[in-house]
Amino acid sequence: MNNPHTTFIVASYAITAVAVLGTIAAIMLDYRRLRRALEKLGAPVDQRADEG
Amino acid sequence: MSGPLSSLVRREIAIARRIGGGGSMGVVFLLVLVTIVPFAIGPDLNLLRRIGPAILWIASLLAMLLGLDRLFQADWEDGSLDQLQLGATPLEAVVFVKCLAHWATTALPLVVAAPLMGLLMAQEPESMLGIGVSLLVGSPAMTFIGAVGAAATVSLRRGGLLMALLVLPLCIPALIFGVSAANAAAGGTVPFLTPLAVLAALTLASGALCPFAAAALLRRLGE
Amino acid sequence: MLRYANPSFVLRFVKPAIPICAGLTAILLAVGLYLVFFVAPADYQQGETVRIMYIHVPAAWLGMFAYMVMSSAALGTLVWRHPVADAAQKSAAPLGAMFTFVCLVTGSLWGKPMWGTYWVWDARLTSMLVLLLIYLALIALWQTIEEPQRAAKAAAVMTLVGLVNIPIIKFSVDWWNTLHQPASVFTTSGPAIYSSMLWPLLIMAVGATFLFLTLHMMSIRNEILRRRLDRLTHLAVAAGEARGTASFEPAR
Repeated sequence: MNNPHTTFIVASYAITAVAVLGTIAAIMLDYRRLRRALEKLGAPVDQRADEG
Repeated sequence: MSGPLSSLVRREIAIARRIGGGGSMGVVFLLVLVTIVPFAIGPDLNLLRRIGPAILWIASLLAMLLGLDRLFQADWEDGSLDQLQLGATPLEAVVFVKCLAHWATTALPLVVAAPLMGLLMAQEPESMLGIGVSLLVGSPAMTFIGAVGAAATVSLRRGGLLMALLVLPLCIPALIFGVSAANAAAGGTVPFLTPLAVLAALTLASGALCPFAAAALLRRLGE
Repeated sequence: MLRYANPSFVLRFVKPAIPICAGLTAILLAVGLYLVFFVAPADYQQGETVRIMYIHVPAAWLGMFAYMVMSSAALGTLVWRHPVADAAQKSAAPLGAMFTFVCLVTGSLWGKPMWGTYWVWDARLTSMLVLLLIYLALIALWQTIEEPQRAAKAAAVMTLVGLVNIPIIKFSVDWWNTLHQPASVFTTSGPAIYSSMLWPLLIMAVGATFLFLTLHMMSIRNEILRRRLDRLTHLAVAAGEARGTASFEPAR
């Protein structure tokens, strides 16, 4: 893998990883926030409180 | 033509004329855009001759977007949209007629003015004719597509920018074939009629389909 | 059919489905990445850069797949008025935009060593760019219209209008491309695909599809909970409950 194009390969995999992980993190944080807010209202979240 | 629709045309044109500005303001906007382009790219006449049709097409597209967000908004605000929905005339036909009236009051002046502004862009007479014809054939497509965007954003106070975001990507085919028809008229490898025929097809297809989409959007408002 | 439209049913369905899909995603992507980096050969023409293909092509596929999912959900919104279809439609847009963005970025990083420039107005890349613009406009539409049901209907119609337009845009961009570019430009007809390259590519594509499904289900669950939270907040405010009312964050 020692060739002048390694940078491009690494960069594309890194950017993809950042985009995908960022999306996953955003969705999971959103979920946690929503569940917390629902619990604060005393509403059942319809499922057990296992961490999403 | 049936009574309700022709009176709707008269109403739209009367409103456009009384509010004032619709058509003439678009033409002035076009002139301003055509004027600032050389300041950005330099007064090189050869370059301007080459990109002139493209600039005029983009400028006309933007000028047509300007008033479009008001297409249904005024009627929605004062409640006449509800009245139009209650009438016996199908809402699709109402939308179609409103688009035609809007096209006649705002796009038609642009179609007439844009070729003349070709003079500022060092266009040859054939090229000016090509710009005029391609805009005449292609601009209804942009009005119809724009009507869908206007209907989607009708309830928003400042829907103009969002409407442009929605509508501009959908106008790309019309832009491509319009500019290539105008370029073909100025001389080129492509025959003039090929892109013009596709452009006409785009206009007819959007005229047939877009009123249904726009009417579906407007009908949902009352629910 | 109506049973599946029930948000509570969906919540109960996705609860076990999300971990299963997430597990499948992890396994498939792990195997795929192993094959890509340690088994798949370098292309004789493009060298090691061909390894970018294994994310570029699945991302392009998912960028389009997400639009198909979004369009079917849009039909669900317009025809059956499922609240779940609204949620599915709303969640698909950012995911599709993300995959399309990844496709464009990897395509341009692949193009730099191949074409010597980051961006070529190649017909395929340009069509993907227009697709990204459509996604972004739909996301803006969702964010601008406050009322969720009205936003769902507007977005549904715009999605279907876009669906009709995408082949037309593709056709006109192809036409425009042949008009403006001499044939000498490097075309992405791609290298001949050998089975040693095809298998990793297929596994990556399936893995990415499961990634999309997982994220889509998680996101649908969020939308259902968000709507429930909105409704409860309105009820609580309407009932004039003083308890903690002031501390409700806007749920958006």
